[in-house]
Amino acid sequence: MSSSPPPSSAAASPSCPKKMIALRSSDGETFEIEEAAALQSKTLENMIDEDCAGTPIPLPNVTGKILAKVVEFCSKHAEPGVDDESLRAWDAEFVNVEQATVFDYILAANFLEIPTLLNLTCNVVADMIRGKTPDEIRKFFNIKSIFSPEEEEEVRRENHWAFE
Amino acid sequence: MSSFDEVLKAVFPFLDGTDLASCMAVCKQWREIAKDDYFWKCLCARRWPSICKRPNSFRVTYYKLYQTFHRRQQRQALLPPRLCFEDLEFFIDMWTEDNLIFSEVVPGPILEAGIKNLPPGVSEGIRLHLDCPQYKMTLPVEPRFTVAFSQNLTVSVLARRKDSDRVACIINNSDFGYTDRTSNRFMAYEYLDFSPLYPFISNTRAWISLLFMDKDQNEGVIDVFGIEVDFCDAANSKEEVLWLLDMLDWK
Repeated sequence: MSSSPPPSSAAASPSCPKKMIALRSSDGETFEIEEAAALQSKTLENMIDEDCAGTPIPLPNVTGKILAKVVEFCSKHAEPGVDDESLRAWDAEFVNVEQATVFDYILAANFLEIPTLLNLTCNVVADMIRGKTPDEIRKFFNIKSIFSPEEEEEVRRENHWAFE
Repeated sequence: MSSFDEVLKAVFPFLDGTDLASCMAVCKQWREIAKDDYFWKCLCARRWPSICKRPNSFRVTYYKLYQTFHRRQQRQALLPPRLCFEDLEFFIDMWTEDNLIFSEVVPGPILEAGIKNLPPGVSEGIRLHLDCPQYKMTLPVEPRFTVAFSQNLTVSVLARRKDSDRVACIINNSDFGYTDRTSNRFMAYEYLDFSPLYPFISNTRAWISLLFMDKDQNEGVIDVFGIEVDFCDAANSKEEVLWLLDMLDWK
């Protein structure tokens, strides 16, 4: 039985599992993320391809607080051998946060083009809207309606088709 | 608050049409975003994926398209009829064997007004029939005439409309053959002929009934106090009757 050659330790090898990408948040924090996890973001995928080797990728639209969580999400979703049910449970916990934080996640997922995160977070907010009347939506999101009575009437007439 | 705008723009594609319509009614900011035809295009693409193959062929917005077709329409309200009873007059003739027993030109408004006062002695069955909501045109027959079931009674009804000065046939030549003893009516019918503008309409009859007094019917003779014309197969309101008449083959 011949021995296999020792694995290459070149960092540039795509099969090397531990290549880390450095990210910098808008407020100057730096984070490291495994390449496999980073590839979940189409934005990062494009940037990695452009071979910005070494220097941290600046992400001016994402704060450190949020970027930390995004890294956590992507790492979890890049983990091998996690079954669907536990991943779903983990996701549910992940979004079990304040409304405002979910909104931040959406913005980050949008900017970084992470479909799984976008899907998860947008559905959370969509669930807040689904099945509610306009009045209930206003109450939920604490929105002051600034329609004049005439506009209100016009809008109601315009949309009655959806509720017949 | 433009970052919230971005949140809404990301979330809206996940909503169905009803929820998106609700969003349009929340406030000005939500409305401005939700009415963007892009979201409605996404909804249309989910609902009818094939339309993506013809991206620019609809002359209306995707919003309008979705609104119109996302669900089968309930029965549409009838458009206002183009005809009114003032425009109409009816030529009604009835024969037994060769005797003309009834021959009148009845103006539309008379048939529209109906029988104001039923003579005493009419059955409850007739009252119930005349009171029920299905629209019918009736006219009183004064003085009353009598008819025996054994006689061959035939009828013809033509109509004329004054707006176009044309004539249509309601009943060409039909025998009275059916008696409804519950409502004391002796009836004739004939299938209507419609204008070539309306193909595929068939099986709609004009019914004409002699309304008779509730005396001893075993004699085989009836005492007629009124005439009824109806189109119960298809038209059960005044507007429907006027539409049906409008669709006849007026020549």
